[in-house]
Amino acid sequence: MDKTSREKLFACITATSFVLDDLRLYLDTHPNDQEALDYWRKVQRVRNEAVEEYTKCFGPIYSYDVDVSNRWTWVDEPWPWEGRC
Amino acid sequence: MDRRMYRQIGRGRYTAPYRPAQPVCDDLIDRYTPDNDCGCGKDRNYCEDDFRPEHFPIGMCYVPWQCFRDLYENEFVALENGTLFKELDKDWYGRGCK
Repeated sequence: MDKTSREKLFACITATSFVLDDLRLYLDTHPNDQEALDYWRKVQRVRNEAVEEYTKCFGPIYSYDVDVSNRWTWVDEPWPWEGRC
Repeated sequence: MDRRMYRQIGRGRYTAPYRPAQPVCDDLIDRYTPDNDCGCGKDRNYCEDDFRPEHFPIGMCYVPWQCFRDLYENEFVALENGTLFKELDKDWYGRGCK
């Protein structure tokens, strides 16, 4: 998977995460709104797939998912403030 | 923020340069175009009808009930505007305290 695909995948994760954050606020006050719940499931599925694909191809987004063998590989990727992730 | 990485979409507003060709929620604009069903299990006019002054004693604050309607077209447009709900996308009239 090339650099552009990586950035597209990350953009997808960013946007779907934002929508889920906003939906969560709505659902906190509308817990039985079936249309909102349908939408949540749809976006959640896409986000989960994108995170899984990204993690498989480029490494973990969350430190909880670091695959520790003989090295703490979390530090191998750029830090957020380096503007390359 | 490294602004070279972002496309300017308006005065002082930037967005990420990459977006997939097919946003996952691109059909929402059709599904959630306003009609008589606001999606909250009540008639669309519920929100407006219920907001009559006689229902509200003075001296208290109230927040109108939000309905699941008028969503932005997809998740990327929502992110650009800072909200999924068009009804909550308000102009900013505040100012700094200097």
